[in-house]
Amino acid sequence: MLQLTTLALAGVLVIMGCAISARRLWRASSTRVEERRQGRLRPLVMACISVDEPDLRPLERVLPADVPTLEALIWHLLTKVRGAVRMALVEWLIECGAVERARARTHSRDPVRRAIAAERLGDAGVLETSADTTRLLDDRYADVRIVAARALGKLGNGAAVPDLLATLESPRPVPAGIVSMALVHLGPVAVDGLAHSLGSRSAVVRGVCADLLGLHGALQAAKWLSLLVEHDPDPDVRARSAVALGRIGFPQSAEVLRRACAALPSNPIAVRCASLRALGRVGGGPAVAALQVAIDDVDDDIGQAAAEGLAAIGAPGVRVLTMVGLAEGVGRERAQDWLIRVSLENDSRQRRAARRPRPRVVAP
Amino acid sequence: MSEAIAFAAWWLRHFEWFVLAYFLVLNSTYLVMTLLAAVDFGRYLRRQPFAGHADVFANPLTPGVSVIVPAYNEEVGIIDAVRAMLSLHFPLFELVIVDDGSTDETFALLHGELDLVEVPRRATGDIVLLSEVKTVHVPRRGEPVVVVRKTNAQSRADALNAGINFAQHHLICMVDADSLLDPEALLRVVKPFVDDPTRVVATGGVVRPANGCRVEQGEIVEVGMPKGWLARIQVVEYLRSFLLGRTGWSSVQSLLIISGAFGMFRRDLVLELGGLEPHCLGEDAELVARVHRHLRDQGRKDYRIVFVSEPVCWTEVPSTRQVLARQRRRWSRGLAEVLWKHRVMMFNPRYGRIGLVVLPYYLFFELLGPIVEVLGVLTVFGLLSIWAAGQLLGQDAWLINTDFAVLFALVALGYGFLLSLAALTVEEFSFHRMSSWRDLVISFGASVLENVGYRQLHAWWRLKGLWWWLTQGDAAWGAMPRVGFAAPTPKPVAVAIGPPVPVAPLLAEVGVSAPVRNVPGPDRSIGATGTMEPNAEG
Repeated sequence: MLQLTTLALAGVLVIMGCAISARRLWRASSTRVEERRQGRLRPLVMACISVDEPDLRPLERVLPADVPTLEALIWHLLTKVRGAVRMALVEWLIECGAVERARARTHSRDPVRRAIAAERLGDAGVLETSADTTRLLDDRYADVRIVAARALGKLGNGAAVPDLLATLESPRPVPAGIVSMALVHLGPVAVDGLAHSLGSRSAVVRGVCADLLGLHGALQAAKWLSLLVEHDPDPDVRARSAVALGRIGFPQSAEVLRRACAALPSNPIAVRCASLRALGRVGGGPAVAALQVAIDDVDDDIGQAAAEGLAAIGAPGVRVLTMVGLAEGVGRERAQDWLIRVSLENDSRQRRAARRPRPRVVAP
Repeated sequence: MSEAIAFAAWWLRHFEWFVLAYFLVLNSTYLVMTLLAAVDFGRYLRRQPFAGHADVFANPLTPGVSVIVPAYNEEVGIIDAVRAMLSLHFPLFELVIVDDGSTDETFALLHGELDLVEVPRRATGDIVLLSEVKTVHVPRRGEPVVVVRKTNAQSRADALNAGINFAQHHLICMVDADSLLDPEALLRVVKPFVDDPTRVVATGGVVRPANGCRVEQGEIVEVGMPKGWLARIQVVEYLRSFLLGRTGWSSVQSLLIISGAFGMFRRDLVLELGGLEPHCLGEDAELVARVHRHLRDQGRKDYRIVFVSEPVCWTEVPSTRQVLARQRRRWSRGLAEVLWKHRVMMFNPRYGRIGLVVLPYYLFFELLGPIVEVLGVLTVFGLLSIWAAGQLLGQDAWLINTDFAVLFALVALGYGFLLSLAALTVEEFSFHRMSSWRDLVISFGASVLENVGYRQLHAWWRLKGLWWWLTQGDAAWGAMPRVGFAAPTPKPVAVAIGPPVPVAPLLAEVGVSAPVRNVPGPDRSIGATGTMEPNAEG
């Protein structure tokens, strides 16, 4: 028994040693083969796409053994090119059946294959494949759902907004950060869907919609966001709506933000802070006045947010910071801190501008 | 006399069975962790083609990170470290360097390199510190750096707490000043927070020895084995225990230790917990234990602490026996402090796997295990001595059971070597960072030495650490001589520091007189919304 154990142990050690060596040799060999293939195919592909009118017909003469490498190369290039080149690559992928194969793989039993397929469909951007990707939003595996959400964002189909938002509260959820990124990728086509979803029963959905409308700079949604800042039952949604209004920079929202930053029991600190920072972006006389009051607030977070808002407004804000920085109030240090930041930022900007080469003026 | 010796031999033989059982259980646990890690690596690597790290970088809602770097007498490598960290590939982060009362040129070098200016910045966190913050500085050129100077409290945790107080982003990443991060390290440890923002509360990255690696401009460009055998053994040890062991524990949601050299936490949670424990040598493990305890006490079971195996933090490991011994004694004492402090969690079903499995494991195998191992070595010597005496005196009853001796060697040494080799195998099939055959052969040799000689010495050091804790000796970090990473370059000239760099001219531009020196503000904590705030707030 002991001899058997010793032999078994020795055997396992030898096997592991051989496995390591074999793996290393195999990797070296396959890397060499792959590099040789890439060395043949990459210049060919580059030559086809580096012209005014990309023409991929020469790729039809590629050897069958090289086709998988060629396909992988083109999928990879798809994420790095735009315009006519991208369209040419997508057409090639459609013609050689790669897109159809990816659609078929969305039904694969292997979740990794499904995820890769979804990723590729998103990269290809063929709208007709939206349904295949949308179906994967309800996949059992979180990895697949995440990739599907990203892919829908890249597809650019505004009709996907409700499906994406629905995943936030689904029994098989997709994280809010992933959904948000997908909605950012969708671009302006998503705005209508997001504005419509501001009335959702779910606070999570309303919060995400507020974030995204702010990022998209959706002026048309400012009115609804103002309502959310004042009346939403969820303080987090109120705060995020205030942030969104600041991003949009709609001057008429200053009054709403001013009310939201007032020291009232109905205004939690997070809402007040977000509103103060947003006021700094919106600007205007009432904004400056509200920030000037808040910078001396006993709550440090409120005071810092007000100082930050004043710094963001520009010259009128700097004047107020200067006044407060000279006075003996609670806000003195905050004002001085932000004045220094403004000064350093200006200083840094001037240095960068000085380093930029000046355009030569050629005499006529 | 001979009866006494015979009795001793009988007792020692029975005790050796206990030691054998101990090694069998311990090594089997390592094997299970290795297998779990291998499965986890396989899953991780298959998912890399669609991991979406580029999306994390491009996402305007990716949370910002404050990288906290405590620095005490780090003049040798601080500038290289700062330059490297400022080059990290991440959309929004700041570097909060805490000069913990350095007596060398650390601050002067930072001042010269970054053109620092003092600012009257208040702390936004309310963690109570052991010593005061003296001044706060930012670069004039606008780099995202804050340098906090404080008096030394002989506590790395206190320096970290000071940095956390001045951090401004949602996530904090604690990094050692002598560590080098892979350029995409932040992206990869942030990704679990992006993918699962409601549940992930902390992530840890793997730490690898940088000794022997080629470093250019603060980045590891070629992985190599160190010259000395002590460091070589640590390369294998770190692979087995840090990479595989922690991945294994993480895969079953039972991670107790995130390395202090590279760990990321939600700032609001750390503030809620009151920061790191300044009087504990194992402050990194203590924080994670406290996170588990706090969240479980709140009734939360769905939180996650994730170990990310790909991004690497490279650090200089001790290359001399004295320094290594000091480090391992400190780790052992730190572990004892953590287990004692959180003993209420031990065997307590309220704390799930952490209480029922992980903490008992660390108690019996990591803390008390060295007692068994050292006694086991002594027992072997004892039995050999008795056998030799028996040979001289013609006492057959004192013969060694050779079968048992072989079995013992198989379980204690052979099994251990198998685990080290398994670690190398998993590494080769997964991340394969060792490129040369020579390094691979050296690692095989180091795997042997790790189990014959090094392990026994390590057990002795850990036992001394435990004794140190029991006798409550003075808990101090001690010095580790640094040699730095890069090839010799001209030493940066330290700028002579006079009075604080004048802020007055800056403020004079806007008509404000001399600034007030930074003073600790009233204790405030940030109102946490519990959500990820956008990284470019309105």
